[in-house]
Amino acid sequence: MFDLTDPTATVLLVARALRDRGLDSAVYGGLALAAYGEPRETKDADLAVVGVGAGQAADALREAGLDVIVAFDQVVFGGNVVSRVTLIGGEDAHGLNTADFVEPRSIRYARAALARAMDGSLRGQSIRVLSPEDFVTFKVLSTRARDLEDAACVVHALHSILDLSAVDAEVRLLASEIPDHDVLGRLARVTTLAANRGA
Amino acid sequence: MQPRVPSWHLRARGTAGVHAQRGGKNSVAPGCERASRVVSSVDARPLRVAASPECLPQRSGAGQWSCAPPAWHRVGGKRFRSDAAGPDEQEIDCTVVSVCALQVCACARNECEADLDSGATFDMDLEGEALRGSMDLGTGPRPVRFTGKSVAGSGTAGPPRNRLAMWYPHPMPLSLGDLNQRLAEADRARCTLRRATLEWRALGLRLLRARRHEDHDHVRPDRPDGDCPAGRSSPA
Repeated sequence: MFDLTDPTATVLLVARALRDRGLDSAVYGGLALAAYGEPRETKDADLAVVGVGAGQAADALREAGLDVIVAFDQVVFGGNVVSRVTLIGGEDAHGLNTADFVEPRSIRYARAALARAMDGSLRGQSIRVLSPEDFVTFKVLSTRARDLEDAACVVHALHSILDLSAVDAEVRLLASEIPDHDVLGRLARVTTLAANRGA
Repeated sequence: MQPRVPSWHLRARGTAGVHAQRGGKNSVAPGCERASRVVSSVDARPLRVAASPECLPQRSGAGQWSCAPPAWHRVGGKRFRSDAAGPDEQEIDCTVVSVCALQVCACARNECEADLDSGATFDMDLEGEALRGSMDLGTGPRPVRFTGKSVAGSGTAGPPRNRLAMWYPHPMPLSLGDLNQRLAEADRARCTLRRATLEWRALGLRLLRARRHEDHDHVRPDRPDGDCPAGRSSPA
């Protein structure tokens, strides 16, 4: 019986379902934060994608044996477009969870981030994870103050190995591509928050 | 003038059987559902929560919380008054709607290694949307941090924060050896969430280590040995 309350098992299943349909994805969100920064309670499967809507994702998940409901499709949140599918169990699955599919509004950047995602394996299954630099950039593209805290947490934790100049260059480019979202201001706040963590 | 800070006090006794359902709709509060599983592996008795809320925090608009007017609230099939205070603690099932009940469930889940039989005490204060406090699960008070998270569609969508999830700040080990030991402990305790954070931490370490090696592989003719410390053959 598959346990949807197990965040790792869920994200592995969702990523595999997409991959079986030829759709690339990389882990983002709370699990990636646990990988690069501090753990925080998380359960959802958050994945970075390119050109994957809720309908496609739902089809892939149904094919993998899950019962799902599309919560919303390609809704703009700041610099990202988000689709959400609620996982409500299935013949061989129990529990409740959600999967978010997040795509930056810059298709150029979305593709680049996915292309440089890092390959790893968990529980014997291959899984891709956004690089820490792209994790920070995705959080800058997001909308909540909480996202900035998450980004600052990674900047602080990985300060010696994080390529902040690459983040900065990317965000400057994104500022021109997504002018209605204050990406530069949000990056500045991340930097301040990270500095305060070190204080 | 400082705004009045609503506060409440909760005490959880016993373990297990936390069948917490959020009122309405079709969803089960995720934290409570997991708590049920984690804790029930230890003891089949129901988790009871005693609440003596000075007032129940309720959402009253954009990011604001306010005290509910004194009124009877039904939680877990039992009623209590939101203005109940002091010794009038009333036992309620860890069920439903009350943010506090959910917090207790979340707490029971995250601290699944703790001995809940000794009695868990939670003292929480609500300051705007940020919660701070301490928790004593029988091993002395320890700081806890609370963060806002919604049950009904968390994360990016940013709906009203109708649940305050709790995060018990264990120090995170940095070496893979330590992580493996903690993973084994989490397995033994059947603590799914704890296991997840540990295994993702381990994955992060492996990914970053691989990336460092990759950087060195592509290198820099002026640094043929990478950054290996003296006496070591590997930069890691």
